[in-house]
Amino acid sequence: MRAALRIAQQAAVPLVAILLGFLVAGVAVAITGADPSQAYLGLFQGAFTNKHAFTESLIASVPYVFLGLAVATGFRAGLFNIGADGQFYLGALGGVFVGFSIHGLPGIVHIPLAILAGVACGAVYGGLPGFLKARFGAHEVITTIMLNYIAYSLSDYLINRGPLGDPHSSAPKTPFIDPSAQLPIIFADSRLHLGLLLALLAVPLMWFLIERTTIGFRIRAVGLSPEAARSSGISVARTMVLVMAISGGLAGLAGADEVLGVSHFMPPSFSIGYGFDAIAVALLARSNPWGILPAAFLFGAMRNGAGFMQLQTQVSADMISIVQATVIMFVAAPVIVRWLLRLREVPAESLQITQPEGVGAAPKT
Amino acid sequence: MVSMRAFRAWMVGVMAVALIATACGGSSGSSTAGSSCSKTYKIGLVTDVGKLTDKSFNAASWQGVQQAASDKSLCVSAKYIESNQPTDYRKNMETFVDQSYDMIVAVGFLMADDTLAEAKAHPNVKFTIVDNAYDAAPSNLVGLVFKEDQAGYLIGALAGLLTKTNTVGQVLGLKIPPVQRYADGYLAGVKSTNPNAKVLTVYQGPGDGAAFNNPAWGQARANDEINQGADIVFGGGGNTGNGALIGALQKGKTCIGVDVDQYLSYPDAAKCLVTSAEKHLSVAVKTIITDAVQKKWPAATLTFDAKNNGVGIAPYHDYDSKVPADVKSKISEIEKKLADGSLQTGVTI
Repeated sequence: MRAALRIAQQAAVPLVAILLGFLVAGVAVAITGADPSQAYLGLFQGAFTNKHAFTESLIASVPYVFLGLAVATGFRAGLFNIGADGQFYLGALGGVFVGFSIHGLPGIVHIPLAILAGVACGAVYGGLPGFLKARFGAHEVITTIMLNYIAYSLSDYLINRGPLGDPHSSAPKTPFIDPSAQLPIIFADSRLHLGLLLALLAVPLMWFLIERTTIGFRIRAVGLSPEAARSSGISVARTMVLVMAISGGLAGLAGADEVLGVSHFMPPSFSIGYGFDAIAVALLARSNPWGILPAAFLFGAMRNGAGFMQLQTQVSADMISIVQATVIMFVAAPVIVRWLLRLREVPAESLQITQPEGVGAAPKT
Repeated sequence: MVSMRAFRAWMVGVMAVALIATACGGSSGSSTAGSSCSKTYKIGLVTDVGKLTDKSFNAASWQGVQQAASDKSLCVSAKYIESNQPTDYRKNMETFVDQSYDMIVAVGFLMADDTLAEAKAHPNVKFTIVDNAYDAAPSNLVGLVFKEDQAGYLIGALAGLLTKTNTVGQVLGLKIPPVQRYADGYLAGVKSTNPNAKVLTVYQGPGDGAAFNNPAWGQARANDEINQGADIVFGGGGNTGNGALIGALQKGKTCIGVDVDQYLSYPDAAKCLVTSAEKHLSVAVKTIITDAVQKKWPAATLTFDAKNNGVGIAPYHDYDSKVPADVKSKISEIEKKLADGSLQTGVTI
């Protein structure tokens, strides 16, 4: 009973933020002259009730689960990983390279190998800013943003007629991966692939890692207070590198999973801001691994439903971005939402993004 | 306290207004067929990631669809879906298929593989793709391609007549067939009107990470060519070409655009644009839709050239007074000859 109440209280702010997001976006739609109720009806049908809609929403949610976990893990150690998008690219590059360059392996070997390559590429690329921070104090926000651009340019170079380009195509893309590297379809007459199960598995694993292991304890300790963690004998530097590597590895997993499960090849502009949407997913979930699931599903469903919404009402899919941006704004400023709701007694925990002392208690009115 | 309460009331008011606005919004503006039609032919267009606002391929293709939709005799209704990322292409086409659309228009060679896969999976739906040809395609899939060399020939002939330094340049994207056709046509066009003129040509190398999207490189190459005496520069290669136009503009030289009338689509370079080599994507798209509706679906790739108004040369706009009348008449004469087939560009790629 108490637990249910606590969950309800924790979910109140995100839920209201989502509602406000839809409201604000609805106004924007109305201003452009379209009918918001029709738009949202189309969004709903496109995300849930149409043929293929639900499975496509699940497919679209998978990368958000991995990337949301990636950003959330960084948050737990007080690190802001803005580089998930770049790590996603590196993971996709690693996955696609192993996918198309090796032949003759059975799927049971080829798939894990390609996924591992993606995770490894992402982990190295994420670990690098962690190392730069631990060793030289370079702020991870700056370095991860910059590393994103390097990742974009690197994939552009490698794929646009570079060593990873498809010599038989005039389009800038990599060759198709071997059929043995493709993630199996788990639901007939759909594109729903094994990645969904991996995502569902990743959530409890990350929860266990963070909440129930020594490593997780160190991560949380560094997030709460690096000074205290240091005085109690935890190597803050090592923990930072490790967290960023785990975060990057998860983002890399998302990239590899998209290549192996959905596209089966990689074009140079592979993600339109997945890594940035993931920040919103993590914020919405309050960096709680379990919270990532509904948050990722919301984002995946919206992104998937947007296509049908546009077909029905010709409202641009960019409308989704307004919802997302508003949600972030209200989640990041929960004080506004709580004040609107006249919520006063909220456990300090539920305000956290990175640190419990961070945002402070509800203002007294 | 009072002001707090007032503000909260105000916020609630804003939300109420928002709700009302949400509930009473206007209607959507899509293209629908007239009521006199017994059956409507449903067409869905899927853009590539450039989206409809690209002022180029996607915009022009949708324009062609709209022209078909506004032709009441065709009884066509049309909708579009813009793709946010490459993994959306198949999904978006599939969305139209699931809604029992009759025909799907895919824009751009980036969608080539996905369109082929969709066409194979849905043999009862017609598919067409702008600016791509297949070696082997199922009968329900038709590619639309253009004779860029004729458009290149036209602007080349113009450049040959207008140059005062007897040197003209071209800055191009990757050396892929459509770009090469433009370039070789340009060369042949210059030589046809000015055999002594020098043509400076530069392609983006295959190692350039930003193929068709490196304006800085394009601008630098335009500067090189101008330093070597060129007074007219043709920019043929997406954003790379746009950079070349800007390079010519800044040096006070004349420039020539590509694909669409860039005077309209790229106003930044309007001051130096004498004209643009055009592919009439809207003509091509409208043609294939008309063929589909009238059950004249072609058996193979459709090629668009000067004969069927598939390629051409854009209006002179601000340069109209600066281009001598005899040059204009010569260009329209060449255009007529290309159209009736009495003149060949000699480009065979």
